[in-house]
Amino acid sequence: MTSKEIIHKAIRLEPTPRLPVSLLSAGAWTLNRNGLTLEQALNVSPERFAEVVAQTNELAGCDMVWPGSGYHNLAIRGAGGRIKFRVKGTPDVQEPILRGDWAAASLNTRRVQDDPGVRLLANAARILVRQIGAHTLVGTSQWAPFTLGGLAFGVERLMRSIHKDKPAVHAALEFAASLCYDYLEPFIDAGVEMISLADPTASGDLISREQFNEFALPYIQRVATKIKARGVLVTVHICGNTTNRLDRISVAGADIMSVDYKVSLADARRILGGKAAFAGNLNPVAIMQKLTPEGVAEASRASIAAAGPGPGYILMPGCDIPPSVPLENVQAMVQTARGFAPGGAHPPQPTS
Amino acid sequence: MSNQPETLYRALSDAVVGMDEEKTRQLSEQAVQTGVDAYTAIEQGLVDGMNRAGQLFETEEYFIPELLLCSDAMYAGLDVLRPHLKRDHSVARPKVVIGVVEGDTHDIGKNLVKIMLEASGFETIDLGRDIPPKRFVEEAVKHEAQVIALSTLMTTTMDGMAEVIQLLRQAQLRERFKVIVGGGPISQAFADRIGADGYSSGAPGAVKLVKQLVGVAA
Repeated sequence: MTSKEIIHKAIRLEPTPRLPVSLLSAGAWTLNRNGLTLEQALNVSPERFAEVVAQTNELAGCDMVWPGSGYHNLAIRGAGGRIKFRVKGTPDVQEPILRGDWAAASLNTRRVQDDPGVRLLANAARILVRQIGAHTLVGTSQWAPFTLGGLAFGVERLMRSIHKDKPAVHAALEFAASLCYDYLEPFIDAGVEMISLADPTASGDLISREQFNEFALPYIQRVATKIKARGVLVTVHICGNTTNRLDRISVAGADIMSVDYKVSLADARRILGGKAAFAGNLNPVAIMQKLTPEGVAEASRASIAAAGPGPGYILMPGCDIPPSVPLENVQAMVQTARGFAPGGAHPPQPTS
Repeated sequence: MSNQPETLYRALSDAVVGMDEEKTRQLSEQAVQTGVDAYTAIEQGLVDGMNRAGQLFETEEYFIPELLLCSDAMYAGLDVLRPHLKRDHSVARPKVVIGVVEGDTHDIGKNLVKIMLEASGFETIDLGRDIPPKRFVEEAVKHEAQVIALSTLMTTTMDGMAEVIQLLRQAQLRERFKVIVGGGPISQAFADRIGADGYSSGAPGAVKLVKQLVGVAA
């Protein structure tokens, strides 16, 4: 059975011959470890970009790859904003684009599709789908609307406006939802089979469950509905502690909920079991970056044990990994999953 | 409302914790007009309100939106009351140079720590975000700070924190400043490894940590 079939089975909550496993995003890790900054990688050919991703995953062995991850802020550039590229890691947004007296309706979000970077990444995704898509699931990612809206509007301004000016918040989120989908559409046209919507600003560490329900969830749901209407799967990733909002994720239409290390996998199983697949939660720094391969394998086994028996669990770091994570540590995570058959003989023993 | 100062202090505290910027400003003006001690109005009113907001944040009753509005109310009151501080209350506040390290523009966490430090009587020199390591050292020297507080949310920029400490060592200034670190990917183990003086997982804890490091009573 191929990697892709295993992921599809996990999403359908069916038993798999071995545990599914993947990195989340990993765009900066992939490119930086090949000697490319994210800015330089936008100046190579789409064929070369795709080759770097494919070759890296041949070494890593993940069931999913995410070309375009790490470039979420290109959406802001594509909508007319300024971003700054870095030698290591991902580019960041320099200033909000929704300033002063703006009207979201007047901002054309479709022009994001004309950004040369977005075009290159979508072309690279198309090549990857053709080259490895038969056996490996090819996806991409973008900020979910609440986080993208925070970047466009100014995150503190968005937070204050939750109490002081709800219509402005919703207008910013309408804009962000349009921008999010318009950014993703060329990738969907290119044939990607999974979209990851990352919503760190909607974390339980930042906003309440009620605020999540009012401002984050409906817009995740709106974008997810459009994505799924195209026959594409949806992963939702939220950083930090999301335990008190996991029950809302299947409502949002997520096929996979990716949880951070602050969420107990036992809780994730209890809340999401039977409703959506879930992935996580190896600490990207304390485990993936800092431990030895043996330590990563041990931590992976602990995560598998915590997730408990039953289908629908994917071993994954709790968030994107730093560029300096050793390849051997990623391989240790992957090998641990590949050696573990849910319901099979490897420890930890399923109890049911 | 009773004319007792304590009643006014409580009202100020309630206005801050109630996120009511306009009421906090009005009550602060009332405090000035009635001649109550500005320092006590700040301490027992504004700061008390911000501390209560911090406690509500720790117990997950308040989140970032609420803390930001409480801090807006506190600063509105401070703008009114500070010019009326007697001289002995307006000098010698311990100084903290604070900023987000180079490569990172996420500054909510840094801002919260700054707010809570100011509410606790510290003077902060806020360098902002995306700050090169060298600048932390230069500003700390220039302002004769006691503490350098470094923040980052991103795993890719954590190493800038270690660089600040290396620069301090190279300049033989390491002993002059306490260095604290915080932010999403940071841990006590990371702080220990790079030789920082302290780590806190949240803003209220950061204040306790700074107080401990500079020997100010909590």
